[in-house]
Amino acid sequence: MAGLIIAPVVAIASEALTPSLDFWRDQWSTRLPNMVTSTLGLLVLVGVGTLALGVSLAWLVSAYRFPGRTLFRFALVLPLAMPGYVLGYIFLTTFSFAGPVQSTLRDWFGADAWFPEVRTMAGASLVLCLTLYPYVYVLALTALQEQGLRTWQVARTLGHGRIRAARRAVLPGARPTLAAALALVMMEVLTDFATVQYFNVNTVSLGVFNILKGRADRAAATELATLVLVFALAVIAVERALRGRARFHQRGARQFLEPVSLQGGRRWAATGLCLGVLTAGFVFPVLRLVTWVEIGGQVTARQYLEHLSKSGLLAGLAAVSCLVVGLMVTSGSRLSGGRATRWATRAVLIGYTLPGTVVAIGVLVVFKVTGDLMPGVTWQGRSLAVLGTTTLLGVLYAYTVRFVPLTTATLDASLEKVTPSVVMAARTLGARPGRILARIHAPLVRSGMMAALLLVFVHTLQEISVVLLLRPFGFDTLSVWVWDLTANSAWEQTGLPALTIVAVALVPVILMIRAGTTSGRTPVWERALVEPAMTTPGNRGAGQIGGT
Amino acid sequence: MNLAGAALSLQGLHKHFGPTAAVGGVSVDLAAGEHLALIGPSGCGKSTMLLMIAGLLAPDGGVVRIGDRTVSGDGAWVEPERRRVGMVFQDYALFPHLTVAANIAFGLNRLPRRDQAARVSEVLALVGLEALSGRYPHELSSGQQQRIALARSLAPAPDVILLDEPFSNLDRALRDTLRTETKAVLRRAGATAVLVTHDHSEALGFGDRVAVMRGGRVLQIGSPQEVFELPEDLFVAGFLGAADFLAARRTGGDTVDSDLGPVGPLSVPAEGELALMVRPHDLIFEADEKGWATVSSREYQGVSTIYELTLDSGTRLVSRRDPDVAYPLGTRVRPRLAEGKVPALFCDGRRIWPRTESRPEQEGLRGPGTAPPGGSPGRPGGVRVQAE
Repeated sequence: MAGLIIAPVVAIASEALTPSLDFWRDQWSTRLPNMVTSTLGLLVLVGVGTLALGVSLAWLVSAYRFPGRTLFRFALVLPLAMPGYVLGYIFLTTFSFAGPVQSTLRDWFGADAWFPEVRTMAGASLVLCLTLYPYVYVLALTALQEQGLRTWQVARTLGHGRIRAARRAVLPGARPTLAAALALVMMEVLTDFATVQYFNVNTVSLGVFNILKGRADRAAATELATLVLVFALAVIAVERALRGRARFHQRGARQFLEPVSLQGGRRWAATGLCLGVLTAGFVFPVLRLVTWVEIGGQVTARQYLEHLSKSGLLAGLAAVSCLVVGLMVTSGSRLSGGRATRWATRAVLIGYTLPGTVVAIGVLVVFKVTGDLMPGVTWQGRSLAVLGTTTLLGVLYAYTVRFVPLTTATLDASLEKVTPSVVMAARTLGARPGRILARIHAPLVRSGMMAALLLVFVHTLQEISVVLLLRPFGFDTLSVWVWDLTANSAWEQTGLPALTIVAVALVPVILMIRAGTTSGRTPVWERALVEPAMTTPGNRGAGQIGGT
Repeated sequence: MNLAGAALSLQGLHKHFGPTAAVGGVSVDLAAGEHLALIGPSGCGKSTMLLMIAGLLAPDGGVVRIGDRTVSGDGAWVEPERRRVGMVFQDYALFPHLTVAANIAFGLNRLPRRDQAARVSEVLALVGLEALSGRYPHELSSGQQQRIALARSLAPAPDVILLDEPFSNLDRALRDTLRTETKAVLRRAGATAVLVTHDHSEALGFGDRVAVMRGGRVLQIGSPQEVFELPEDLFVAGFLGAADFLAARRTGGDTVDSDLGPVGPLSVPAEGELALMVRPHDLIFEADEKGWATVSSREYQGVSTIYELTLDSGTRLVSRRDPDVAYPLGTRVRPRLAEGKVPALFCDGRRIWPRTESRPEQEGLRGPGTAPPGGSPGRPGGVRVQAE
């Protein structure tokens, strides 16, 4: 099972070892240099931006008291539900030459009123930062809560001021966590091509998509996908370097320093900053989508329901498939403590840590290779190689690879409650193994299973890169529909589908917020969102030191 | 011994983990309603014993009998769920998804529903937590969780209750209260119980008998008073509470001499290092310029004051005194044993006197006097004891 999960990654990796020189020579003389610099530039800009935004907001709501602090503390997670490709075109339609902002400016200041060019890398970075910073924010909050107080107090008693204590004592402690968050953000950036194409930023992932869809050249796309893998490995290397030899956070008492009240203008500045980020990343785009729902008369209910049902079908299938694999992996790793199983458990986590583009192209390669190996295996006259992109098999396979870690995290969290002594207690109370399974394991894991299903469902519904690369022709989900509409500049018809995606994505975010407010319970949601990213192969397990 | 009608009987129980013997041949019998405290340092095999009694771990050899059933050994094996053994775990192991009432009812599933409810309220009343039946474990304090775990294990009226360090996760004050309470609850339920602990006051306070374990073996088993006052060896002596050891010298006759006076009469072995065990509450002293010890530290503890005396020989002894008399540091003092105290005498680490077979009082043994090594007379009281 683990082998099946890592097969696509292995496929891409082996492609990387046998590069086609002609292809690269050709690319090098044309688009490659631009692609590499764009990708690199975007990674750096978004990385620095999300880190700055996420950490400063987390510190602000943790260490200071200002109007709206309690509300912002939770609300600042909301942009997590806003996909980058949705915010991207909303941003463009608002600020582009024909958009309301520039039109208004021209009305006020004349036709030559200056406005910065929006279809740039800066614009793309801004949009990606606004949708991706919550990863850093959530992880930073957790790190501050779990290890901040003691070290901070010690630093204060040793004569450091508030900010200095935070910088010298708290931040280094949170560094491994932040490195993991940064890696997660960068993988999202590497996966994305839907957002950047609005901004004419030619990243490698966009190149892969264009080659595969424009020229239908699978071999060339595979070659280029190896470059994405190289970037991903570089990101992992950077993460390892940043993390240093530190361990991941210990789970201790969740508490934090007593916040101090900000005075005068600074308190309103703090409120303003939070409000600004929240508005730009969530409130405004949602409002704009809501107005479009009313305007778009061309979207019929039939169209909507058709796309909705396709989305639901795909997301549902992916969720079930991930849950089954996740259950097998977690129970396997618990029942047999063997080295092979433990290794396998770590290996399946790789999907979440690699860009979706790599996984998707890897899946194509796996179908191609197995098709060539077993030419006899056909279905309705189609070979395995073709089945990958003409049925849902390919998409489902890719989603399973990518999202299984979401299920293992939640399932593990719930299985942790079934300690050996709980089972022993049940036995001494006269329960036979069957009754223990039914009365102890099943109810304890049920909530974890629901969480796992929901997380995969939502992630699949939102996802655009993999589904665009692998969907069978004509299988248009909500996100594909949004993509097609925006490609035809029919922005105003996207209101309903985009809003649906955001609304569904809000469900786990809100559940996470609620779990965070009821203290004393395991924050399963947070762990599920965040932990797969932190459990890259090789550093799972108690107290294992990262780095090689 | 092998009591007829023992509630729990272990014979030659042993368990190996790899090459090391976790439990190496333990035999104990418990009468119905008896409470046994198993005490020993971590890794001595005491928890392994509990797991084997409960059937959660298969012994490598030996026999476990509960009542008149052989549940393990002699070719028999009864699964834990059929042993009628209740267990309270160190982490309580409450089922997190079940309410208090459902937790307690878990072991009662063979009863009709009405009887279940009745039994649940009965045991809840026993631990005094009737009001909490609808709560979930995470809504309880750790003390309440412990009591619920106890109630849950008592609910099916098991033949034996096993308690695996049930108080170790609690703070000091709560631990003492709960120990007293648990003991009372077990008495009221008439339960036969085995408590595992590494806390000596817990073991002495809980058990009708105390078994001291080390390296998988029972070093000594007896009433709390016996093991405390007459430890078989230096390890048991030290493990059951603060004890100092004072070198004793042969006098040539049937007594030995020490800095606290002569001890005897006894048959003094010709060979071996002799040491007297001195517990802090057995050692008293008076200020005396001509004394042979100095107060070297003092710690006020409210109910008592702990003094450390440095004898001129260099040995340091601890004395626990009433807090109302204060001796400044550096005071010269004359140490002696409290009246009627018979110190245990060890030869090469083994106790040789008093003999265990009979209580020391019955044998008419004398305690040591207060005479200093030089032979100057002590207080009249001390002399009277010695002169009898």
